[in-house]
Amino acid sequence: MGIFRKRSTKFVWLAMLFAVAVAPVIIMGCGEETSSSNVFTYAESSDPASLDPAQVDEVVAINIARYLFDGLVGYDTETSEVVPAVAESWESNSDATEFTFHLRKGVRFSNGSEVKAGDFVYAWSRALAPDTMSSTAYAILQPVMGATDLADGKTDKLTGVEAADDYTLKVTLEFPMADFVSLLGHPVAAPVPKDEVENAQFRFAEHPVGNGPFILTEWKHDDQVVLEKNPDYYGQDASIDQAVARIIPNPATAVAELKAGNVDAVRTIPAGQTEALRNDTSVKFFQGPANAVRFLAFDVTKPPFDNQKVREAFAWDMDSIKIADKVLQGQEYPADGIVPTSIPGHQADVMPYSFDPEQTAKRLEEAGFPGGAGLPPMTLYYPGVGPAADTAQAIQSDLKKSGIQVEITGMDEGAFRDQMLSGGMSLFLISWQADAPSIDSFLFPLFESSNIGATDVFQYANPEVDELLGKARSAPDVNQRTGFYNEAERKILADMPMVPITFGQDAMVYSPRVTNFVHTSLGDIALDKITVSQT
Amino acid sequence: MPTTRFIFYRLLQMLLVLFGTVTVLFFVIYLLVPGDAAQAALGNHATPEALENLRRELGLDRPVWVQYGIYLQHLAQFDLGTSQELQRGVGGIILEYLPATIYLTLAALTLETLFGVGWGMLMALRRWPRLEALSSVTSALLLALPVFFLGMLLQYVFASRLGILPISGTGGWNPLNLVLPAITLAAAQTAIIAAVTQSSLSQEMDKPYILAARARGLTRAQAMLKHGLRNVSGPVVTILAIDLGTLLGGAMITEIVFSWPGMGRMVYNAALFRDVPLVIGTVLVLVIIFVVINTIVDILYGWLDPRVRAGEQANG
Repeated sequence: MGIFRKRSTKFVWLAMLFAVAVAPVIIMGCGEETSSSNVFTYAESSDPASLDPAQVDEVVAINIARYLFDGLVGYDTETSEVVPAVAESWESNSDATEFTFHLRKGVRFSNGSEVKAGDFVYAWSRALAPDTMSSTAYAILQPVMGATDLADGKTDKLTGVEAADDYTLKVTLEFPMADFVSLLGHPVAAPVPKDEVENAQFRFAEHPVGNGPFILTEWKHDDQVVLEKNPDYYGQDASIDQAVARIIPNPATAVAELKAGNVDAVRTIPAGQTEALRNDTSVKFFQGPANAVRFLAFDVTKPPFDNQKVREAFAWDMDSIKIADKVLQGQEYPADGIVPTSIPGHQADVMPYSFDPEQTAKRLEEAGFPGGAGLPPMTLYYPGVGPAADTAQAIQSDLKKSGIQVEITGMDEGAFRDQMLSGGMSLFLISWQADAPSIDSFLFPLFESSNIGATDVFQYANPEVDELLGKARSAPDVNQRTGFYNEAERKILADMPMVPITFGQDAMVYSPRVTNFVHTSLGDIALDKITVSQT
Repeated sequence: MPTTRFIFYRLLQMLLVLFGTVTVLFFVIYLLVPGDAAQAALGNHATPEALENLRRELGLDRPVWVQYGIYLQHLAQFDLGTSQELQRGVGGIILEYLPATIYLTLAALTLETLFGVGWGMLMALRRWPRLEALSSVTSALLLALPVFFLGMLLQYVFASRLGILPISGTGGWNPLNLVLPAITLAAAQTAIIAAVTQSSLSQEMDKPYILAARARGLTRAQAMLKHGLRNVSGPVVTILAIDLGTLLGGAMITEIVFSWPGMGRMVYNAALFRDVPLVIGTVLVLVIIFVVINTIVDILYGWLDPRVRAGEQANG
């Protein structure tokens, strides 16, 4: 019987293999395509690292956290103006160093506990504490008295924030800053419930409990994040019942899913497909401004860029219209100043120069480098690949036509940042995206001289600009304030430590099933405003 | 006992491999990957003092060999450390991603085995000139097509055009979602296994024991299944075992094309963020799996091929 026994062993072996491969298909094959119709599904290219509002710092995570948490204020979808959220109203003293916020009653976290002033005190102190490892807390909350000492680990208490009673929050600033409130719509300034954060059973970064229009119900890493409408939300209810962020790393796959009707919107368009998708009638194309500016930066302390004429020669040679329309295929649009058009208080057309190679030639001659002769070897550094690389190549070729030879070198983002902060480059291309839609966050960190060594990467110092930015920060009247900021912007452009090239733009495609596609000027898909047809 | 000694040497070998892996990876990542984990965590606005504090806390201010020593010490206590980017335990992260990877790997291996061996057997059964031409063209195509391209081609044909299979994602572990990524992953290896099976089987089929079996009245196919196949299992199993290692760690491109939440994508992102503990932890786990599998395979050889056993007994 040996033969039979051996044969049956082999048969069992094959049968087991077959079972592993095929049986699950038969057992579970009937799928579960039971998605309810009032669901909005969108494709994101990466998994959030954290959904703790204190830690979110990338578009994907901020877009979700913004709808899980409501801070003191929010931003108007179209204009980015500050609008009330948990705070019903607020006022400041005359020199803009003390703010009092009056909180709405009856706002609840999704665990049922009421949001009180103490939750903000806790949230802000926690966000700034070194253990939280937040990359945005200090950028947003820096003006608050004691923020620097807390972030540096010198104290464990944020002295400038206090709950006068359950519904009154008092904030004292280190320096005057009339526009302080406009920073507070960032998730990092949202309240968090202490008992949930300190619940050892669930990591808050993966199980956030908030007070926003949505509640997180499922998060499978690198697969999908599911949000459900918060039935107890104090504000205007969202139209959709559920929002699903599917993590689809390959943009071409995401577009295929969109066309097959499996996702309703795609945030990242595949490289080089902008034009094709714009003309594709089976999908809808959206393009809107983002609060980012791309510019050519100089280290104004290093030769030859310590010479204003050399910087001007470069500035007159920047063909930003060609770069925006041809090189970047309309993904970005020409900059008309430092502050992007989507920021409240933007002033149009403040550039003191345009593309004119004759002016470049003239400036070079005045600087003592006629036709580019005698210029030292120069390298233009840029981070990453994609638009930055394309822009750098276009700049290189235009400069060459004017006799200016530059090498271009692309670097990994981390290495680029290290070298930029250590002062190791004197000519570079970067993009600045502000954390909040305020003029201040485009001008103060970049050009106020106390930021040299950190965000003032140009080593730029002009006492007049410092004074204007200081005056703007302490001016309580919004028109007066904007006036100071605008004047500072014009002065900076005249000194030219950098040349703005393009403003960022978000381009997305979405399905005709989406009846109202709402995108905020901050770059978010407005999950609370979007509507889908329920068929 | 030879078996215990065998296992003892195997374990010793495994420890050496693991130690080498940790050492090489640690220094390669430390020296070659640019950027600073503290700056990455705190962002551009961080004060120099906050950066210093965090570097001290993470141990980044110490000399690299001290950091290496600390890491080894934790490892000896089975502590893989905490991911610097995700701020949670490396062990937990790996456990989260491992099931999707194993699921896809097993599916691809199954496809490779069934189709590769089947294809090889068919070609070894007898000479079919037309089929042989088709076979070598198919084989060349499967080996030459880049994974990225093959994946998107399958997506386009079977999902976008014909609409019979899902485009990407796990679909809540729907097995239909597994089909296209498994085919993509298995394609090139199927061709290799087919070629190896065919060439070794063809040689076996001319040997006297097959002729003897034929003389007993078995058909050529029966003789192949009954006697020939078992004698070529060695090379095929060797390829499969090596594959298992590459599949577990190297399915990144397939995972990206099909939005599959596996370890390849995870470790790729970890490397981009210079997340040293997560990269080393993941690679270590993969190496352990790989070495364990290979040990099992070595034992399997004996079971599958009596000649190996006979040889061992003769030597031992």
